[in-house]
Amino acid sequence: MPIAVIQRFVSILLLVGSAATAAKLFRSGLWRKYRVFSFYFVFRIPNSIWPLVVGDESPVYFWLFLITSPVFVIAYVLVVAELYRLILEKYRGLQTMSRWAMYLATGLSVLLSVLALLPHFTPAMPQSSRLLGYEYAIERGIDFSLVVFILLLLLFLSRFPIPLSRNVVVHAGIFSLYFLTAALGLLLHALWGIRLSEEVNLFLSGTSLVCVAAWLTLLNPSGELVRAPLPVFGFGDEGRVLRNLDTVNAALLNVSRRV
Amino acid sequence: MLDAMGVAILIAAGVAVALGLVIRKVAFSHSRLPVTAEWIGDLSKDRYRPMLRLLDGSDLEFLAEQPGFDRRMAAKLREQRCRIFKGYLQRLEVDFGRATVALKVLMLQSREDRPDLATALLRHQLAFGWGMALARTRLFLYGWGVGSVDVSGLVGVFDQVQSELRGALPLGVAA
Repeated sequence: MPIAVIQRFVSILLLVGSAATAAKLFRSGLWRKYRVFSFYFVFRIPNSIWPLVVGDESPVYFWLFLITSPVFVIAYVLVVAELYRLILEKYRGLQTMSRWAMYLATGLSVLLSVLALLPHFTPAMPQSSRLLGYEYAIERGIDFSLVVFILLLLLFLSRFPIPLSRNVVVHAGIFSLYFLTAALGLLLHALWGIRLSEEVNLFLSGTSLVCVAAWLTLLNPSGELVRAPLPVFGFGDEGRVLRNLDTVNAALLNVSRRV
Repeated sequence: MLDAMGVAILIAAGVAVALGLVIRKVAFSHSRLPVTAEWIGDLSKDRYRPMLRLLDGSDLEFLAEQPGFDRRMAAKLREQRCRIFKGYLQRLEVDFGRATVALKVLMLQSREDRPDLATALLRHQLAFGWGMALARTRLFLYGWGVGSVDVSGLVGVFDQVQSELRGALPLGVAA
């Protein structure tokens, strides 16, 4: 079966999956919590339609791709920022520490992605366009830095006994996988040029489809429940107070017997 | 080109494995603190006072002057002391870990930002981590008869943390 036919089939499945996920988010009420993420999925619907309608050899396809790709990149950054805010907004005591963690994670992730962009790839295969080459490089850098940012954010969270909902863990995991495979796919574009662009595009579409399917099946309202609560240091420990009183009583009785 | 792709795939695989491990830790970690706060009252640097002189070498110097005390006996004594010292180090690490987790819980429950606790926690954890690495290295060398181990700094850091914890507890919580 030609790759173009498989690609078309995967694109149709992506459209259906994106629409179903957007519908689920709005119907379940999860969109109120994951606003940016929900509107990202709404935006995916028209963005999944035009590649099916516009021929990929036409200049319209090229310019639509160049215009919509940066919009997606901005959406990715906003979704990760939303995830970060969702996890930490409840914990005011951590404001300073989480700000430090964010600065460190941002600095490290940008540095690593810049280092990853330094090797200049000059593929033997011709590239379709210089503009596309720059766009792929920028997107590759941002996708990789978002993966590193999520990794460092999760590393910071693992140092604290913060109970996370299943949805947040699933969300972070799937997005990390999505960004990582997108960065890898864009690197393959840079290395192999137009010779293997169909295969690379199929790889990217395929992993997108897997991620969309995972979001569709794993994100649901019951996943918002948080597991074991934190221990509380407060006044409600009646057993401890009673035991202390018993100890004091026993000591006083002991003293009074000696007297 | 294949080398570049191989390196890229290796890096991606490494990042994926790291992500999987971190996600697993975040998803399945449970707070290991006891439900009550009584254990905070048991935290004390006095428990670790014996560590301060366990490996100071004065006992070995005294025994070396005694008739019949040979190198084999010295090595055996050093080995026993190392084993006891390791036990103390492990206990100290556990107590420090619990104290820092308790501080983190207090930060999580606070209704206001706690930059003071954030600074103290970071400073103490770095100092303790470094001190523990040094202590373990010196303990290893002591086992071979080289040098001694001074943990007064390490116990001092622990003492500061448990003082911070007692100071940060809500009023009325016994400590």
